[in-house]
Amino acid sequence: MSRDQIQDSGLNLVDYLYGEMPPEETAEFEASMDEDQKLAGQVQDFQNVLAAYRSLPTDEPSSATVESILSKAHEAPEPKRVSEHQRDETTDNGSGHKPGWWSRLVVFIAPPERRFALGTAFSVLLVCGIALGAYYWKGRVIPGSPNEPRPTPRAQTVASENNFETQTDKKQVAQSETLTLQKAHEKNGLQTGAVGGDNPQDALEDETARRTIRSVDRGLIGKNQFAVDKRGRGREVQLTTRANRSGQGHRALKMRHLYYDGLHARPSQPGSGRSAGRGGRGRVDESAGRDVRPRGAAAVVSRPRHRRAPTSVDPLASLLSRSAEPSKKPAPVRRRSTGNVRANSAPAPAAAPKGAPTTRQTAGGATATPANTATYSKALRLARSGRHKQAVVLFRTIAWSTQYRSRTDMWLAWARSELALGHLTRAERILTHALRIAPKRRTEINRLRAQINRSRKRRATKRAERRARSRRAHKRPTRPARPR
Amino acid sequence: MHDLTDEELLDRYGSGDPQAFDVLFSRYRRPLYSFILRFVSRRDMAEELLQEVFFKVVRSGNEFEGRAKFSTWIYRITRNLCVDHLRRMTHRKTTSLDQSSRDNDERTLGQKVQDPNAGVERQVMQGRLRTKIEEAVDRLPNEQKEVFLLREASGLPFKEIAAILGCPENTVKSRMRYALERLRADLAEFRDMTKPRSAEA
Repeated sequence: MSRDQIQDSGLNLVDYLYGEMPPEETAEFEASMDEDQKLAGQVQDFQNVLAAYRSLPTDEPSSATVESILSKAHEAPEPKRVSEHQRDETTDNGSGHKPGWWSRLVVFIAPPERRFALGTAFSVLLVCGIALGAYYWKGRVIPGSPNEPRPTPRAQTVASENNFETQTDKKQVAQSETLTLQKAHEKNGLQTGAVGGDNPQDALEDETARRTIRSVDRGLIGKNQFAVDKRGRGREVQLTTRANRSGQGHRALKMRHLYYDGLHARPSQPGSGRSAGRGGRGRVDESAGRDVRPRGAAAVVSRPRHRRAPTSVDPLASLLSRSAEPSKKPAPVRRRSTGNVRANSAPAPAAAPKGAPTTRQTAGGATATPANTATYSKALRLARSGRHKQAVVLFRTIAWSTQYRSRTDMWLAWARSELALGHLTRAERILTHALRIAPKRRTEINRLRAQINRSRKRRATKRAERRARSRRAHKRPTRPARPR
Repeated sequence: MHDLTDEELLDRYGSGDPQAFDVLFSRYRRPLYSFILRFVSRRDMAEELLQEVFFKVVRSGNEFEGRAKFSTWIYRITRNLCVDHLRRMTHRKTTSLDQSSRDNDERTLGQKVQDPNAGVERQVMQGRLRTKIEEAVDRLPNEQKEVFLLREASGLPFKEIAAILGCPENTVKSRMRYALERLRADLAEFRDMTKPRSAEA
């Protein structure tokens, strides 16, 4: 007999015991009982058990319990009618079992006003989320998408003049302009950056910037560091100062490179007055036009607002038109900014000063200019001949160029000249830098440092002697003792 | 008043008619008490649970939705309370000498132990049979016990028992069958006594 059959027979048995079996099935079941004595005995036993149980006396709760319940029911306050959803919120009709979270959630959102409120809140959240996402997605324009903004007129001009594709992003426009500039410079041998010209204001600003450079050289950023704010370079100087003060010498050095190169890229113009150096003596070759910034960085050279070119004239177009002219005669060109971002991906060719040879690329990527080489040779010659003051000026001019800033010989020669001039602190700083770039030449550097220390001691001794001498000179003669 | 259905009585009680509750109570106190007493096997606890059941009816009578019958609702409350009680008592199942047993006399177990008059054979046998039946019912698994008691002590039909327990009707009948099998096995030694007199005749 299978399990189902057993179960069916059990169910039938229970139905038969309690008289819930239909009449025709009852007759059939009784017939099967007649045939199966075991089944009949089983039914009999069950009936006996049930009869025995039913013979037990009926239990009644005690009168105290009955009275307690009835009194409680009569004392109970009149039950309040509750709303449908409140009724649903109760625990399983008071049976003590809490419904599950899903049924509670369903009950919670059952009232229409709650549904409306929840729907509104959800809609607001959805809109806020979309707005937030759009806000953060702003600027990430998918090319070809309908949301792609139209290119600016300036970008269109740049693109049309140089057969570039139109760029919509500001950054891309700037890069495009930079590339345009480089392209124009390569063609015409010009240099990147603005030019000073004969404008006395430009010359003044150049001089201010160079003074700041000298301050940076000495490690003493003077009050004029903010004077270059108008030129937009004060920021770099401030950063350099801050890095120096916080002990981040390497960072300061890097910024100084950035700063120098940014300035050296600006050519000195004929007739622009003192171009470099103290008191404008000597002509400094500023034709390096190098860009040693790390990749991806861009030097921001902003112009003072009061000198901004009229917006009606496209500065890029004007510069390009000028750069296309033959550059044999370096005509005084007014400074025209071509955008505030200069290229750094490739060194821009520099416009040599009058009669200077063109630049050439070295194998290491640094731009080696014959002008710098000539300056260095001249500085060495001057130093050998004892004209350290002029040599120092030249050393300072080329020190931060890409070609020479890693050459320890130059730094040591500069330090010797400074030492000869008695600038001990400056010489020591130069030696510190030389040691940083060439630790292998420590012996030589230490020898020079020892020389500096000896000079300091000698100077201190002389100072002490001088003081003693002056003290003796000003000492009052002692009175002779009064005769008693 | 007595002709009204349970639901109507409850509605009347909810409207502020206390007599309606009296009628309801008179209808359900005996079967409920019988069920609770057989289920928890302790008179004091049975009365306490009975009070709790009717207090719940008083407190949350207006929460009755009318989806099911009132009897189903109140038996579900009763059954849940009993199950919870048994669950709690599984951790402390001790018999105190001061608590009264399940039989009718109010004597405690300690008093019965000291009773010198317990000696008549018939009474002893009847008492033993009764005790044996109660113990056999008590030994049933809870699933089978609640089905057996709801049917025998409260007289509910299988369909309503299925609604109370939330299981199919065939499952209820199957449990009933197993309960009867167990009881038959436990009461085998009293087979002669359990036979009805008509059958003996």
